[in-house]
Amino acid sequence: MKILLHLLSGLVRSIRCWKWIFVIWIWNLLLVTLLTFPLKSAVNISLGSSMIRERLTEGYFLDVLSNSGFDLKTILSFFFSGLFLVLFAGVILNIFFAGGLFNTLREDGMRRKAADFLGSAGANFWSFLIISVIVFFILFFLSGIIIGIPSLIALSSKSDFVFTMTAKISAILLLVLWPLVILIADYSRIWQVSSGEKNGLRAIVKGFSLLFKNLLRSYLSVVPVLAIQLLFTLIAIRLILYARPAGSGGIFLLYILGQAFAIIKIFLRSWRYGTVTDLYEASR
Amino acid sequence: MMPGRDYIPGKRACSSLFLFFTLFSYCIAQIVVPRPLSQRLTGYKIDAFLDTGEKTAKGKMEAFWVNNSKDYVRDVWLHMYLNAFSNNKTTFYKESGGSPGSTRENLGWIRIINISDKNGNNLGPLMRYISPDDGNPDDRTVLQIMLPESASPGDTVFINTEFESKLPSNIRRTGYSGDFYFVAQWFPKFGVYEPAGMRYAVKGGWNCHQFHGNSEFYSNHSVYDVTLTVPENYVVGTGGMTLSEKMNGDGTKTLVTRAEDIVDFAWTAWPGYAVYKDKWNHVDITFLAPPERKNQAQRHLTAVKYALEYLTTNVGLFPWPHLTFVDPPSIGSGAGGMEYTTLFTTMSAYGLPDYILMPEMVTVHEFGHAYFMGILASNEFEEPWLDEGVNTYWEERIMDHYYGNGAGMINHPLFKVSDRSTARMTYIMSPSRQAASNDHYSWDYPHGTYGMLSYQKTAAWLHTLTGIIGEEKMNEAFREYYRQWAFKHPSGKDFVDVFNKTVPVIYGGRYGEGLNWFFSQTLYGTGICDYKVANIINRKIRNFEGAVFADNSVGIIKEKTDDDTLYMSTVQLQRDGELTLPVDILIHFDDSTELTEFWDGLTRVKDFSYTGTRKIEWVKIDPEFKNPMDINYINNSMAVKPDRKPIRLIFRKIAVLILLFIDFISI
Repeated sequence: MKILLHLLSGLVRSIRCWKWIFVIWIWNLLLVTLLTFPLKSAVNISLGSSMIRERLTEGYFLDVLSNSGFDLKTILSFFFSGLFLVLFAGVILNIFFAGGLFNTLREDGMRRKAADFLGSAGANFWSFLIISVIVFFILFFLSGIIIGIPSLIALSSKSDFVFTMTAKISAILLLVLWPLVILIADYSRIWQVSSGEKNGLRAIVKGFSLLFKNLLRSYLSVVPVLAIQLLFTLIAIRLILYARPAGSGGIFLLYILGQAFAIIKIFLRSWRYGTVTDLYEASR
Repeated sequence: MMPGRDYIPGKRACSSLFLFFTLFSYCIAQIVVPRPLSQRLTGYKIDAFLDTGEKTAKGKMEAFWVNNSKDYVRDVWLHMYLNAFSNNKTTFYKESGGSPGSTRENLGWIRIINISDKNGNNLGPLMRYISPDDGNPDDRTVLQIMLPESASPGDTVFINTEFESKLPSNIRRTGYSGDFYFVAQWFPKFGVYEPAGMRYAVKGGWNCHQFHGNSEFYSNHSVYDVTLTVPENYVVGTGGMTLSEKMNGDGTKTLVTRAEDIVDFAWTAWPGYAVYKDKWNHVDITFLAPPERKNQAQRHLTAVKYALEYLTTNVGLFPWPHLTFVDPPSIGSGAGGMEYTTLFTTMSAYGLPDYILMPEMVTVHEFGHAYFMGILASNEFEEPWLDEGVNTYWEERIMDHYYGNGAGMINHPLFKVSDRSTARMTYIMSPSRQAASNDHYSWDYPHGTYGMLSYQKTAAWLHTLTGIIGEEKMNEAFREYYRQWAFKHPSGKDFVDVFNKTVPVIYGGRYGEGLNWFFSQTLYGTGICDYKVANIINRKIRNFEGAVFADNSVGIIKEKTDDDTLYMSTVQLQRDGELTLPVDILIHFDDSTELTEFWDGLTRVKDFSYTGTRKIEWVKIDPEFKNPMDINYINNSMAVKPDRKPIRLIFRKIAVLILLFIDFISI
């Protein structure tokens, strides 16, 4: 019951932050457009007035991209270097906005103004960055241990069976441990915003202690939100990938739907922040 | 070393002559196929024992070669191909790079323990290793034996030998890994004696090349009686028909097998194989694979039956009643994707999704070699395109025919790749696509172009030829090629001759007689093909109604309305490449009518003009993509108002996916 209340409280807090969710979405969209818009123009120029585009609709991408008239190397290089920059900038942007969101999600933070949101985002940025780097490192390290080492053993055994079983067990282990790492990050951040301290390392230590102080309830509260996040992402990706609108109107509607998915995705993340914020405040 | 059995090199038979007649009668006998399919100029009777401790196959072999020429032949040449793995200075390693390894376990070699002729004469002192291709003194892959007496026309040369073959540990087509064995190129095997007039031979001589980095093989069709003794827990697959299998009671078992009219005999042994059986018409199919891949067994079996059906219908009969193929385990992956006519290896991986058709593709490809390497048996050293390229063409036809509407490589709703496209892509994207023609010895292709030119370019021009003469005519030519040349070692020249006779005249003789104009550009040429639509012009023809006024002046009363405005519509085509190939042009007008025009491609430019009330909306050269030799399909079409929706849709999707991904990785 208490878990449900935490989830409900997180949901309500998140709904109250709707305008900041829109702000985050708009900035993310602008960032992505910086990559996709010029890339689209480049591809259009490369294809000229050709009707080979029809093959793209049918899914025969290689038939188009492999032609000597298509500047594949340049466009792929543009895409991948641009994608890396956009992903990196996107993560930094969201680390920045997380400071504002956590501040606004607090019990006493509901009516904070733009200056407070952005002020908290700016004030917490560097230590949030440190927290994120540490958490990414933990995730990377954990993945390396859980997936990498057994895979190496399995590969050296050169047995299909060993390899398959190891991969499956590793994936399950990672899925089970993943929420714990996320919880450490969330507890660290809410502690920092609430305490006013600006020490990322101390926040991480605090995150660990807060998590283990309230392990079961925290885990059971956050896992449903993470599961919904994951399921939603998979469904959204599938819908977007498989949609085949024929006309311009259909393409536009798909775009709108896609942006709605992106907004909901940010909202779900905010819901998780809200739930952990409620857990934190309840534990004090 | 296995317990309870020591191999003792065979005692010399009481009478070599008796052995000779016994062997000869074995080879004349019909056990597998109802009548001899080939001349059977060579035959082998081998009794071998797999020593899993020493990693060797030791054996006794009685073999013969019939001098079917008018020449007096003073020597015989034998392939000793396992010696390619004996050191890092062999021609194989010089060409392919790398090393066989530094320990005895790593190396591969074959040695003759003793050898004699039918009269019991010791041939040992008359042996010497030669390197006919490159003179490499460190290469011992071809053995010459001077005969005590020249072999007269019609004579049969008989050899009786004991040999030991050490298998290499790094499997490159042959070798061992752990307890997995793939045993190929493992016994002394006669080269092909080519009398004057056979293929390109101007005088009689042995065609027996060294083992090269980029090459496969060339051998006579032979009869093989092979007896194999292996540990009893091993599952064995061979290129022969198993006649009997018995347990020896000493931890070993012995299999007696026989193969008729195949060009090589290989076998595999591994305790871990699961065995799957199936049947297609007269062919008993055996499939060996690791048990973890049982979900893919049916995929492989279906693929091989498709290939049997398609090639039987369109090329000719698969004459043998048995076929074994193998999906090697991960430890033996180096043996994957190789062919020995009635035994071939495919490849796959655990959990490969159904829409990735790589396992089926490899199965179809390797099986296809049974026709072009096995039945027709061209010289893969000298004309690799005649096997690999032709076989790739058929593999692509089979895959695209059976596996979902031209998506024979990847058939996913979101991403489709036809098998034909992958080959074309390799050719058109290669920076060395014009480095050489197809007509080179396999090890002579410059700049690493062996694979691209002998496989993919050949397949591309064969598809182009199909587009020109039609699929049924193509099938007819191949059926004739099979009918004339099965079991006779055709050359490229013979292939071209068959096509010239089957397709004597096309397009009213515009290109001359036969198809030499085509082969000279594609098979023997290095030019590229690139047609393009240079422009579409819809020019309004000014059209007025005039009048003579009362004062005799002439003037305009009114310009005609839009409804009856006339246009001079022109499409301008260009040939940027050197290849002159016929193409269809599809022209679409704004009243939804369409016209198909023909362009012979003989001139650099070609215009098609039309006067009328309709305007051209778009033009496509080769609208059905019949010509994969064209390196650029993008400039093959042009629309006055190109449809930008597909690109817009793709980038809308990409934008959303990146947004979702950024949020996913933002903790």
